[in-house]
Amino acid sequence: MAFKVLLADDLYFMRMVQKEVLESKGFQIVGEASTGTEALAKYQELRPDIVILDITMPEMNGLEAMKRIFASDPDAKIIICSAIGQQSLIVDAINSGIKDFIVKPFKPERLLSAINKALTE
Amino acid sequence: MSSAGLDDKKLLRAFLEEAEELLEKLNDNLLQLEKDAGNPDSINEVFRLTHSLKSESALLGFTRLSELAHRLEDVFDRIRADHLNLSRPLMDAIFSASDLIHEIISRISRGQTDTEIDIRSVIGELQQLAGLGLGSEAAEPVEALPAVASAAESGELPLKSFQRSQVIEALDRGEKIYRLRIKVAEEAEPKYPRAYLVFNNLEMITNVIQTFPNMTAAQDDRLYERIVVLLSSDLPEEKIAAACAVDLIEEPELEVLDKGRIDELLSLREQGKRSALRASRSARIESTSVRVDTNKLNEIWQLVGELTIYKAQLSQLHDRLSRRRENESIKGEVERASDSLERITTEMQQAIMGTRMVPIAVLFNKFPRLVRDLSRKLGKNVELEIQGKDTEIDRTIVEVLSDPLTHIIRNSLDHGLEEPEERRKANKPEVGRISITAQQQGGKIVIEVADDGRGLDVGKIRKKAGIGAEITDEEAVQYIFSPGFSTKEDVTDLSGRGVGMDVVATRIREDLKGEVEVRSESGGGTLIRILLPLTLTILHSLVISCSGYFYAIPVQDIRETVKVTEQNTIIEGENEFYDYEGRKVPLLRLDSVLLGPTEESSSLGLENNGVVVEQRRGRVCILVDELVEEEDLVIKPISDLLNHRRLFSGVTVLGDGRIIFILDTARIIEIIESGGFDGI
Repeated sequence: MAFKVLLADDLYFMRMVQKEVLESKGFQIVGEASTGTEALAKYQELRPDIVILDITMPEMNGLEAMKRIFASDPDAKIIICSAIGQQSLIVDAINSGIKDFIVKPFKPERLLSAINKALTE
Repeated sequence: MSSAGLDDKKLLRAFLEEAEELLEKLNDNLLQLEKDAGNPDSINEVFRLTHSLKSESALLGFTRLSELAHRLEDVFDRIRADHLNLSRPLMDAIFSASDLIHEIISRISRGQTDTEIDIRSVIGELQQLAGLGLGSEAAEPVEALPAVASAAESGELPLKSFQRSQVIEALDRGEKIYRLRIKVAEEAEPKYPRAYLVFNNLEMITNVIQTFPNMTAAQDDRLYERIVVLLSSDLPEEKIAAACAVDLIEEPELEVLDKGRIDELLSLREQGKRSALRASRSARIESTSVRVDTNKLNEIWQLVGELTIYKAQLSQLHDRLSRRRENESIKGEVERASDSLERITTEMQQAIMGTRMVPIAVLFNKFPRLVRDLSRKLGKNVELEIQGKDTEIDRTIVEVLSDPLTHIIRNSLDHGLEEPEERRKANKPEVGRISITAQQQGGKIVIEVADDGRGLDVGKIRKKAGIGAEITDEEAVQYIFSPGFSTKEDVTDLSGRGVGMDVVATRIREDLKGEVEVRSESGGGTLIRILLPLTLTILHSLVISCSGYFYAIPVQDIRETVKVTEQNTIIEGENEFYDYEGRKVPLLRLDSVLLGPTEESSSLGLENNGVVVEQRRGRVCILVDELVEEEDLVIKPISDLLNHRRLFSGVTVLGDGRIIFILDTARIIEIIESGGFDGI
């Protein structure tokens, strides 16, 4: 059975790249979100196996969305995918329980390998 | 070629200024390494210094210099990562390289270039001895330095006393001690958070005792390419290895340490002590070059700008005054300018102090995860509440506080909170509570860790410490902080939280100049309160004089300054008390304690200045000649020779050169409470 993935990024282009990479390897993109609020709502509705979450998004940023997702499901699997390489933010996110982080721009293999490692835990 | 660099005079000047400082540090650290070859702080520092020199000189076009620094950096990278021995010949080669760097830089400062300098022979020797470079056989270390060599070879770092006790406790619990090495893939940027992912996974399922480099405070990102972790766990190897299954983490190597290796590790203790000392020293060095919030720096610059204006104004006014014209009207102006100067200086000092402060969130933020993971592992339901994350605290305190605070929280979860079953039986909510709070109270930071668990077993503590009935329960529980308490044999079966608290207390009291106390209620929970100074270096104090000498009393210890007269003095035999709001507070004649009894000490004058100071153990009223002024004092440590009775916590020098001793009020009260100064 294909793993279900939720993509959250405010840039359509970025979601398109992610989608292309993941679908080519048999992942099922069950939903897309362009704001933090949307990401949270779709997570609760769709219960995906994993979320690829951007940090800078309108309405609610990714870190806040991450915290709320964890609050509703402590076992959620989240990978942060962001251009923000600020260490303290990443460390905070790791402390909150994310599985991995990807710094944009990323190579397709990197996304695949991160998502595979996170799902096989 | 270096013409591109030489064109830009300003850049070059900045480079030379920095290079000079850098060379000095390089030299200091190399000398340190010659004495103590395995010193990880110095190795890291040299690596960092050569790394900066490499990039800075490349930027200015000094290719030879950059090349040389690069090679030296490589050598230290190997020493760091592969635990290459620093043999004497290698050390000599490193020193020649450093001398050559010195020479090149002084040529550059004379306006010459680095192109005609031959760096090949020095580099060749360096690479051969370090086993680096093309075609050269890896040179075996010629001379092994005992202890340090074995430490470096096995990747063992000396343990701090705290970590040592963790190893012993883990063995008592029947856990195995593991050493794990990992490498962060070259393409991973940044490296620190990636290594942190593994570290975090490990913390979740095991007890991490030590990491190298330090994971709790991020340093130069490049240091995190290779990580060595010492941990204890009762899990099988596969489970621990699974924690390293993180993308871009390569070559995880996990080994179980056998008894021999563990003994070896524990025997490195003495060195550990020395390295802790060095660590605190290098922490101070680091704090001279910490990264600072730009807003805070701007604030400082603005204040400095204002300061120079007022300074100029004052000197102009002074000129006019000395020409003896318009004296009266100018006097007022001088006074106002002088007041402004005073105000700005104070603000500037506070602003500078602000740059040392960080919100305690940097420390607290790791606890939710720790609690969540540990509670799952233990099968306990826990709700964690954190308050006061914004409380600001000195950066150096945060680093030292991390280990003890983690230990306290672990203890709360492990020993304090009961299993769900036991809680149900005791009619308590199944979900246990732990709360961590921080707040500033006056000149202190108060940190509390509270749980609603079973509380300490006072009976067992009494038995263990051999305490009689004359001591109240409230006092008895404090014995968990007594040195050596938890190292006594059968302590691990103490229900409640006794384990390792003596080590925690020592760190808080000695390294942080803080206080720690515990309150416990059988079946109702435990509260541990830590009191810390805001900063370790600046103390707001009252300067007083006594028999012609000056002393200082920390304002945070002062309850009130009073007038002592015959009317409010109570004499009982040889003891004198001050009648403080109906309570008898012992009177202390500072001069007779510090300088020996004097003739006039038998009678009080009409009216004397007294300072009532207060500590947890009690109060004392110190008689002084004069209250001089309140000042922020920069504290320097005091030599034992001058302080054999330990009555002073430090010494400071005022702007006018006067030397002032800072009274250790806690110690003074302790002496008085336990019978007085005779025989001390």
